[in-house]
Amino acid sequence: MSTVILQEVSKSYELGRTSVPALRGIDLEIQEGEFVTMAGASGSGKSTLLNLIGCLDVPTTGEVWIGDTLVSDLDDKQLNETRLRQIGFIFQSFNLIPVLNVYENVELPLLIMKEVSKKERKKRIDYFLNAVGLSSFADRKPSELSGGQRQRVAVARALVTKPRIVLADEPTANLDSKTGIEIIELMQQINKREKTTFIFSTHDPKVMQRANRIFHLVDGKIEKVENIR
Amino acid sequence: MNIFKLSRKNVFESWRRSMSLGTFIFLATFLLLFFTSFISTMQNDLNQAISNSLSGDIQLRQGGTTEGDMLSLKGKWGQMAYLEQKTVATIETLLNENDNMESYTKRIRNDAMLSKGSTKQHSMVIGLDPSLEAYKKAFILTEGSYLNPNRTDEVLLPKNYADKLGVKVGDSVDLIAATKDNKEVTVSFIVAGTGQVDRLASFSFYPVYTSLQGSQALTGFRAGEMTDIIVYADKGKSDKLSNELQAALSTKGLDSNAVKVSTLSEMGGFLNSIISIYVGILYAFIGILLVIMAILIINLIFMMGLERRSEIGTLRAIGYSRNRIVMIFLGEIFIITTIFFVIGLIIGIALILLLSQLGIPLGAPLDLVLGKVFNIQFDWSQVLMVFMIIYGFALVSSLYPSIKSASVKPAETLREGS
Repeated sequence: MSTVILQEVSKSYELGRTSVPALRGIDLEIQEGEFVTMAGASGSGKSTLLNLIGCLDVPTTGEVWIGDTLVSDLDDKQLNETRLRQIGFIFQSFNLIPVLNVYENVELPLLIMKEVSKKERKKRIDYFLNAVGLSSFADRKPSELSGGQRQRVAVARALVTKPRIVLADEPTANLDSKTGIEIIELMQQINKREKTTFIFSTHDPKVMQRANRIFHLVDGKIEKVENIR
Repeated sequence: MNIFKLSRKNVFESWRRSMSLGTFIFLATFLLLFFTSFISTMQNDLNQAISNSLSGDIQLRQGGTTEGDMLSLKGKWGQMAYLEQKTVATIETLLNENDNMESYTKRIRNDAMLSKGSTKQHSMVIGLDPSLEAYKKAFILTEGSYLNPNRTDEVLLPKNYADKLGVKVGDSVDLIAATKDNKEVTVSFIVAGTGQVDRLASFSFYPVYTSLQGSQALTGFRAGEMTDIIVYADKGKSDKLSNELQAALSTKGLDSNAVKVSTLSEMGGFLNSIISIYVGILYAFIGILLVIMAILIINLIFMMGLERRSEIGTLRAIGYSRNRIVMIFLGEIFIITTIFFVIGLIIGIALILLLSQLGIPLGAPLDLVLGKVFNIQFDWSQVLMVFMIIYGFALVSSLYPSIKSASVKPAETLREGS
């Protein structure tokens, strides 16, 4: 079953009177439970593509489908709901809230899910902190953690809502190569265990080789799709 | 944790910024509380002064006269409205039966010309029972003594009139007046004392006090005829007593066309218009302070929005709506406002209570309006008004910048942050 479908998607940014194309005629389909990467050099359109899949931006032309929902049909409230319940985000710069501790950062998206009780909230946070190996760091502030630990917190925060898709924009870019590989391995384990679809971007060949499929982006176009295994 | 915990943590983590805004909220609260108490005290003191010196808490007079006629310092020469002997007796009976009253006095009030040699001075003469305590509280003696109840030919003169006429305590002075029959009379009086009316001198209020008999000689009134009766009501019972008296008079066949009953607040139009100038100046100052506070809040939230663009983008990305982010910002302003409002309130109340005990000694020209020692009084009813103004300003001024800051496109902020 397809989790994400992009049809003839283009995206341009207006810079003054100039229109700068970021994506050009993207067609892709990602199945549920896949572990795929968008690979390409800086400026190739990886982040733009992830933003469109993550309902953070809208395409200039073309259609983005999340499951059987056409994203352009959603109003602002429905977009918020889609991001909350269906998509988890992991960012290159971790994007943790500095004033909150690890536990509170992971708790953040659950606070606005009314159907999740306080007890269930605690259960889920404990489970995912354990899954990323940070149970004993729950009271620490992000500033007291290493880069790898911060990204693990971001992984736990992305997963705690049990989303269908996790989008990770260059999750290893700010980490050393060993820690980067550890994060990708952690994501792989969760992908296998939870059957969550992972879509991440990278320009690191070692990291991209961990994916099941690689979409090679060049100048806003998919130049090649590589099936690894 | 609820989303306001994020507001709380932001407030305490960015404590310097919170302090800078909080300082203005504290100042605005403190000054607003202080000034409203100041204005309220000034208004009460002036009302008290005018009640003691001129109007009482309630005034009963002939129907058909206006409040302005009875308070005006420039009455119409020789055109006197007065209560007849029988009416006065009826009123006295009713007053003696009423429990909400402290005391009352009968008065004759008329216009007259003070004369000494070739020097003349137009004045308002108030004839009253010399044993009345209220006028003694209002008229501050600088020389001599108050009216002697056993004498009928004494006057108390404002000091500036005495100086202008060149008379001293013990000297005689003539009063020329028109009687109710419009005949001119000249009566000689002895100056018992000189002084000025507390707090009202700066409003050009210079009454000349004499005995009822002295005023009868000037107006041609027979015994028992009065221009008005003034009543000192128990605290806070003026309105009730006024209504009761008007109703009781109606049952005796004296409706408001025959006898008009007015409270000080109904009569105090000219006083309030004078006070409103002072009130206006003070509120303009507070207004400027509140505008500065609003500008600071707007600036602070825009700064917070700029500093936290990435944070806002993250929250939007994980599903937070714009309104929820606005609530986080408003939560921060609410917390800062509450903390510093409470501090401002506590310090303000403590200082006001302290000053109300100690009194603020004043020199010229402030003492003319506020008295020699100003005892500021704290009024709990001001707290609600201060609360509404401070919270209203804080929340209204933070609304627009909060919405603006929360309206950033998450994709843009995340791109900047990466």
